[in-house]
Amino acid sequence: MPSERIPSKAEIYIRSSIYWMFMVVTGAFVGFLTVFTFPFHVDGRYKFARSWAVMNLWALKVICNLTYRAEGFENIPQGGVVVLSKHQSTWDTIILQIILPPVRWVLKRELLRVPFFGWGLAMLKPIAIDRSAGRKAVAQLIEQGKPMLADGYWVIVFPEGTRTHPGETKRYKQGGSILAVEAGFPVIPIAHNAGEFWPRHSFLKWPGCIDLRIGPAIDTSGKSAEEVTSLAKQWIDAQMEEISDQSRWDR
Amino acid sequence: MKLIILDRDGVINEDSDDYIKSPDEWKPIPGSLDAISRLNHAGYHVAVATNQSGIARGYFDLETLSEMHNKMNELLSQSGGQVDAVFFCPHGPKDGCDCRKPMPGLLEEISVRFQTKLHDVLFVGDTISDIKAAKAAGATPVIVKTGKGKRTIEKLAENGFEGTPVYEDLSDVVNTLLNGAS
Repeated sequence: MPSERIPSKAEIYIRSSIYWMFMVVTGAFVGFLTVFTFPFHVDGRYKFARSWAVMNLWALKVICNLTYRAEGFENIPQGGVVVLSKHQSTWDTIILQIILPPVRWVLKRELLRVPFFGWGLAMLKPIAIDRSAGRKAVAQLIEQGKPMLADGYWVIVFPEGTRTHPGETKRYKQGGSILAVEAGFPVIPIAHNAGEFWPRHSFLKWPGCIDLRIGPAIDTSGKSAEEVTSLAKQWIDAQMEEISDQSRWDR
Repeated sequence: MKLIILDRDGVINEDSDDYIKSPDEWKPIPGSLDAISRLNHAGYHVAVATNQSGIARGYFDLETLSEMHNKMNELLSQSGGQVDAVFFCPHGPKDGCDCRKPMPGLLEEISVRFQTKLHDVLFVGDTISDIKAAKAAGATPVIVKTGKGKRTIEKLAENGFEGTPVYEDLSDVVNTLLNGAS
C-alpha cells in the first residue's frame, strides 16, 4: 500500500458515521431475510447470510479506506478445524466468513436475541453457549461441536472470551482446545491487529491495512488441551509482537 | 569509539514463528558469529538490543535467557569474538516501559554505558520497530533480510522508511562496513 494520507478527525468521524449506517441497515436487512431461508439447507443459508460480510468488507474499503492483507492460506487443510482466533474487533466476525471455509460460531446465546441480526444468526447453526453455566458450557461446546467438525465445518472460538484492546492478552480459556482434542481435529491459530483500526466499543474506524495471519495447523493427537492452548497462544503472541503497532493504540 | 548495535533474533540467531525459549532453540544464522568476530578484530565494540517479552509472558525466565547468551558468547569465543553487552527489554507491550522497541530506551542505555553519541552508530535490525527505535535514539538503522527482514522490506514504504539500507544478512553489513563502503 502507498503511504496513507492521514484524514482529519472530522473526516474519519463522517466516514465512520456513513459506514455505521451501512452496517446497521445491511445487518438488519440481511438478518431479517436470513430468517426466511429456514426451508433451505444450512449451507445455502450460510451462503446467503455471508453476503452481509462481503458487502461490509467492500463498504469498509470504499467508505473508511480500511483494507486487509491476509497470509497463511497454505495452512488451510481439508476437513474440520477448531480455530482459536485473536478477538479485537467486530471486524473479526466479518473477515473469518470471507477467508475461511464455512464456519460455525461459538457465541454467547444472548446474541441470538438481538432483533433481526441475531435472528438471522440463529439460522446459521451457531454453538450458542450459556456463559453463566461454567463447566456445563464446555460440555455444550463439545456436544454440539463434535458433529460439526465431523461434517467438515470450522468451529470458531475466541479463547480470550471477548474482544481485547490492542496490546492486551486475556487468559486463554480451554474450551476450544478441549473440543479439538476430544474430537480429534486440528487447531488453527489466527492472529490479527484489527483492534488498532476498529477497536472494541469504538465508533471510529481508522483507515489503513489490517494484518491477518493464519497459522500452521496444530496436531492435537497425543496432546493435552493445555498444551494445545499454550502452543496456539505462543504462536499468536509472537505474531502480534510483529504486526502490532503501538503508535495506533491510544488514538 | 567504534560501536555497532545489533538486534538479536533474526540478525544473530535464526528467528522462529514462536519465541526462542531455550539455548537449544538458539541457533546462529550462518556467518553471523564470524561477522561479529570480524567487527571485533576491526576494533568495533558490539552491543545487542533485544525485546524479550517472552519473560513477561512467562515463556522462559531470566536464567534461561542468560544461558542463551552464554551459548552465544561461547560460540563466539571459538572465532575470537565477543559481544560486549546485551541490553534486553523483559516487558510486555502493555507494561508502559520505555525500553521495549520501538521505544529508544535500550539504545539510550547503550549510549550512556559506552559514553558515546549514537549518530554515527549503526543499528542492525530486521523489523520496523528496530528502525523506529534507531531513529528515535538518533542512531542509523539498517535492515537485514534474515529473520523477519523479508516481510519488513515490503512494509518500508508504507511506514515512510523506504530510504533505509537493506542488506542480505549481518555478514553482508559487515563486509560493506569494513570495506569502507558505508
